Amino acid sequence: MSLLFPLGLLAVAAWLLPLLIHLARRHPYTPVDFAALRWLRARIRPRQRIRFDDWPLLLVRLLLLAALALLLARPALTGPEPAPAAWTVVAPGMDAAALRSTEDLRNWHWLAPGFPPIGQPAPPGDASLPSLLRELDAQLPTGTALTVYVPDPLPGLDGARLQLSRPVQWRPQPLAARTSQAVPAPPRLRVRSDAPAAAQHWLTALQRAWGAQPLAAPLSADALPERGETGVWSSADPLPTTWQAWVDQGGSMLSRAAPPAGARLLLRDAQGAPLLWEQRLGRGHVLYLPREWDAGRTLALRDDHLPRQLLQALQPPASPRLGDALDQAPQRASLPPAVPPARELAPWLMLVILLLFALERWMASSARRRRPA
Amino acid sequence: MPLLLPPDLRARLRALRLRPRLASGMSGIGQHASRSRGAGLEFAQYRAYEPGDELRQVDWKLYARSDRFFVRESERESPITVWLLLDTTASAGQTDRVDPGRSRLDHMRLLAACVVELALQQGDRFGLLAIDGEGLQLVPAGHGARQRDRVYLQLQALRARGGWPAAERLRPLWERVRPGDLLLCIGDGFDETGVVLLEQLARARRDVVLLQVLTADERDFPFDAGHRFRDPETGEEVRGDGAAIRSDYLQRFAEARTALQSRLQAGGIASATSWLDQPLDQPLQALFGRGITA
Repeated sequence: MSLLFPLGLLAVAAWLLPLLIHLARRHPYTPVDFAALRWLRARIRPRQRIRFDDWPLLLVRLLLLAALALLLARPALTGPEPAPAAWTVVAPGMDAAALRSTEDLRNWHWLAPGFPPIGQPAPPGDASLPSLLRELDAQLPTGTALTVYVPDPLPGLDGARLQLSRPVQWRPQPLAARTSQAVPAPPRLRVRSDAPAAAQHWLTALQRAWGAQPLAAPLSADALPERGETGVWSSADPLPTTWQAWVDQGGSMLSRAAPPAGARLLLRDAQGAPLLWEQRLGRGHVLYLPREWDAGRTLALRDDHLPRQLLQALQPPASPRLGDALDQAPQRASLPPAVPPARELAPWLMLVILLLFALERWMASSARRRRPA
Repeated sequence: MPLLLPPDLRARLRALRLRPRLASGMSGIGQHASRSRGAGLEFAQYRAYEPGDELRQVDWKLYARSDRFFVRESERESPITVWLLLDTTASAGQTDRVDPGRSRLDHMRLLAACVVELALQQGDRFGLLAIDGEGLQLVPAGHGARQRDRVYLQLQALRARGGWPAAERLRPLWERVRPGDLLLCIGDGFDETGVVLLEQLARARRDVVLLQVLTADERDFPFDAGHRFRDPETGEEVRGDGAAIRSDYLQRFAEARTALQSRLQAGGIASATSWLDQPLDQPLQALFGRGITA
């Protein structure tokens, strides 16, 4: 247990208040009617020792203030949560009931955000399973054995290989992959009408190499390409502002202009000279190919690999998200020890404070009831 | 609180007789010995025949034995007047710690009711005098059940207030209480002027009895913490730690009681003490019980 805000304990200084109240409120001389007064001889013993009135009430008040100060100091439990010895997670979409019949029945959870118990209805399985496994691995205390049921093939893969800090019983179950990604349509080039014929010739060849489609009709002088098309700027002049704004909102285009300073070199030609640059511009990007766009005179344009490389630059291939589950079995890695999240005790403390407050009120008012004025 | 005497108390009261120590000589038939002798129920003495005595008073059987004329004389019984003198100054409002609902005045009322009961059962006349800060409140003497109701009504109306009044305001007392009357003073006996008044009354041939009503707190002094003791009559205050001043107080209080007792005895005043936590008839037994002929 630790305090997230230890300065809050300074509020204990408020103890001074009830202490003073209970000191000042004492009136040792309660009045008594006594007719035989003349036989009383006044003899007041000097009783100056510190004495607190009503000390049970004082105690409750001090406790109440201490609890409030503790609440301000935000105590939290950081120690390891009492952990079960074994966890079993099942990826959503699998038949949990059939799997459970074969195994120990305790601590079964869905491999879904929040890790709901298996008794609840299966959550939608659109979250990435490896990511969830990493999260679970970080949350579980060391020593808890983990059994994982995943579909084979395993969907939702990302760039990194799955590495967990504990040995995992990896149980792939064959399950048909639900979605096969459609191959995206090749980009459609849109050239301006003032482009030279040699450039249009090369661009038509490029378009045909990608998708056996003819080049779309050239744009008129001021028109912009449609959304989804790839604009082509075939002159060496810098882009006009209207085209820049178009790219900025997510367009992609191919330009013959010289690349600006921040552009990234993508390709070199067969001789090793830089050929293709890319620059991100807002949400879109521009490819710069500052050569003469004439297949007859520029050797690089006649390269067999250029259409494919240009296509990859315009449409980067999606990384594979589906893989063989056995191949993707998590590797053991020595990860930094997971720091379990601190569990704040505020709700319980509030309950204690409320109870103490009720007790204090009851004691204070009942003490007054006992002594009618 | 109604003046209801419990049945067992009534039964015990039945054995008591109000007996004046000074024989009075009022005319009438009653229970009390009178100075005047003559025809009556209770035999008093034989005396020698004198000329002028009625012949039917001569005891002829004695003449037959002694050959002399003797006259049989009886004591004439006469009713007396019982006066209840209640000291309802502010000190009568004091209550005990253990029983805060019952004040000294309540106890005095019940004692007075007991005495009224006694007077009623012997056919005596009785009246009520109550002294408080305002002066004297009075129910003239009378007898019978209606007189009892009048006295009860006045008893209920009594409130503890004020200090002992000046002597002039008590003048009606001298006019009402005749020599030979039984004056039963019920009070705490703490007022010096009150004791002086009783002594004067006793010297003036009134049959004075003091029923001192004291609280258990005054006897035991059960205070242990610090208290501010306040005299209800003077408003004077004494601060003290109960445990510290207890023994000193008890000693001085006992001395004062002894002194008062001897003073009353010297003044010819019978006295008894009634404690608030003890039965009502205990002091009455001591005063009027069988075997004690005062």
